[in-house]
Amino acid sequence: MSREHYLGELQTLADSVPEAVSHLRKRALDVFASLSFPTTREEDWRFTNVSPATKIPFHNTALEPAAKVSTQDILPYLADAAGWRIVFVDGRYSETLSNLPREFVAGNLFHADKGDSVLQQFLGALVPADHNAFTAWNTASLQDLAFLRIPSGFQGLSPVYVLFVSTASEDAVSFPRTLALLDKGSQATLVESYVTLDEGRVLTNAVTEVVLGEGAVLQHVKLQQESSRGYHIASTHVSQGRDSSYTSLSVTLGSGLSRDDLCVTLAGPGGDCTLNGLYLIGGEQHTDHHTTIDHATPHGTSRELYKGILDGKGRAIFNGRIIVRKDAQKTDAEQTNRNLLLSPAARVNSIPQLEILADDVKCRHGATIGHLDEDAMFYLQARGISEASARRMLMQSFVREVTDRITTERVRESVEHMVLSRLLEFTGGVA
Amino acid sequence: MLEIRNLHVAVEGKKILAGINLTIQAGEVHAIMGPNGSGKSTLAQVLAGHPSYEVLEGTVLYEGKNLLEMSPEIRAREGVFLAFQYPVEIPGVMNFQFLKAAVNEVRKHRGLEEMDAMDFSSFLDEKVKLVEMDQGLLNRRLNEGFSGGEKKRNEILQMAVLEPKFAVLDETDSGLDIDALQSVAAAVNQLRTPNNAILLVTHYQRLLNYITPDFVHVLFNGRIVKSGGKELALDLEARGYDWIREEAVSL
Repeated sequence: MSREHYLGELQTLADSVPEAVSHLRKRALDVFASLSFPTTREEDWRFTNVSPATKIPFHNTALEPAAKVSTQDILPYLADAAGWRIVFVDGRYSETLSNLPREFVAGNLFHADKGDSVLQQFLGALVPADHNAFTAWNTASLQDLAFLRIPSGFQGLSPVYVLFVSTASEDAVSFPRTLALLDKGSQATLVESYVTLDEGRVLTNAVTEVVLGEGAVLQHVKLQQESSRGYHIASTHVSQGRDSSYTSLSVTLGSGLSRDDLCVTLAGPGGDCTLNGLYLIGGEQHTDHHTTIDHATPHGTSRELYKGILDGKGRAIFNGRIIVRKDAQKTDAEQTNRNLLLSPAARVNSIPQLEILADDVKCRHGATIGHLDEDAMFYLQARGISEASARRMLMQSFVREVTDRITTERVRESVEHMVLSRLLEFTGGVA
Repeated sequence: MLEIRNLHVAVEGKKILAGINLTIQAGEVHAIMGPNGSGKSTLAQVLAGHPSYEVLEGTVLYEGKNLLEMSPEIRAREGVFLAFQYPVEIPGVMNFQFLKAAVNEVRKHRGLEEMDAMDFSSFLDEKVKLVEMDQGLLNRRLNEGFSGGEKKRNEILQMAVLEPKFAVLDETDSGLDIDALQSVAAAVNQLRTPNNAILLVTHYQRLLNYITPDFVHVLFNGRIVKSGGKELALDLEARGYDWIREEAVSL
């Protein structure tokens, strides 16, 4: 257990940050010092064993000289070469690679004077201090920050990519952090993308916070295509104001072990929450999605659809928790998880958790785990289409239900392309 | 063109076909009739190569080659076609893309150049007119939300674009109203040539009013128990299947 090693290092973090941030860090450091890393003895982590990762002495790349990454290196990960992007290399904001609409977005507002009060009010406000040791570790390590603030009523911003690039030096850890604030009636598309440029054993420990004001609309896409030798531990915390609309799509293609927590609170009445997810994994990959939708107020609607395709010895966990508080009458919630197993060694655990305390609500959930439909395969083959192509067409058909929900065309096309290349790697056998 | 000898087939360990013998020449139309459960659809599926059907005994020669050794896609590329009784809905695949992929697989196999979207589009236009299908169905997901009649018409469209040498039409008449039946039959008649052959699998005689068979065979308990000309179909329509059952039992 090398947590002490990190604690010492964190004491030495640069002090050139706003006071609000250094307070936040210090508090998080205390929490990090008092919490152990989760173990499989905890209910929420029983299928996902992070203990091998906690034994590795990771080095914090944000404390080291910056690696050289060119625009050419990152272009494959952007839907639009000329689009808005905030780029971080090994956890550090890169001014040269970024292309920001400065009135709304910043890669690092720690030196900005006006940032201080915003930081004090919002940064870390949505993440429960004791969420887990990883989130505390992220906050204690706060350096650079992707920050997006859309002013009241503004709707014309083209999609903003937040790209976290890891050069994947062996045993590197980075702490991506994103804060998005959408003021009343504003609208935006945010694409968070996590990539590694090499196959190193890295740890990405990411935290994202999203606050939607009254009537705000956010389409939030998360793409994770990191090294298959790496670990990706992330949590996203969303608070929805009255009549706001939050639509997320989480796409997991990479990482050896990934854990994604997505916690949405419908804090104001009439909110609309749609969570979509897609995990396409094979080999020895393991992915664990824990989602929580907390209907804290009445007249909220939530729709959740997570779909996965597993090849080789892939292992997936979907844990979907829906809480309907006592006052959250007229809640309408629906959760679906569908899985396609391509190989006999692939495994899935699908766990719905409904906690309903109100009495006038609609709540439905369903889960399926199956194989490619033999009759559909035969139908395609009977038209001359090869077994491999038929298999690919059916897999595409399966994932399209999710990717079709991305309303921004450019983003959708780039995600479809990414998903298709991943599917081409699937063999249907044990890797 | 097709020669079935002593074909025995089982599904999930249960024997369905018990010694089928049937020879079909180029240019001929054969009809297989029979009561429910006699094995009609099993025969259709096994000729197309469905993996759930186990051939226990017998041979099928197609143009002198062993059909049973070919995978379903090779059969299709070699010119064998099955119009499905229950076409499968595939929600994520566009009908147009599917048709284009199928045609190009077959063309590649026959040593022809693949068609691009433009060429295929004009090629497809003609065929859509031939089968009198709603053009809008091309831009829909394959069979998804199609009515029964639209699905059957889409099957015949596939037959028209793939230009098979040997086509099996499995209960293509079921679920069609009389107008649709007539137009589907007219399309099939236009696809008849002296070089191809068609096997119609049907429970009812009414399709045969519009597509005239050269031979009619009655399937009962997995065997062809009677063969004749087109009059046999009228006989069956008038007298039902009971007399066949009696004759078969007394054999």
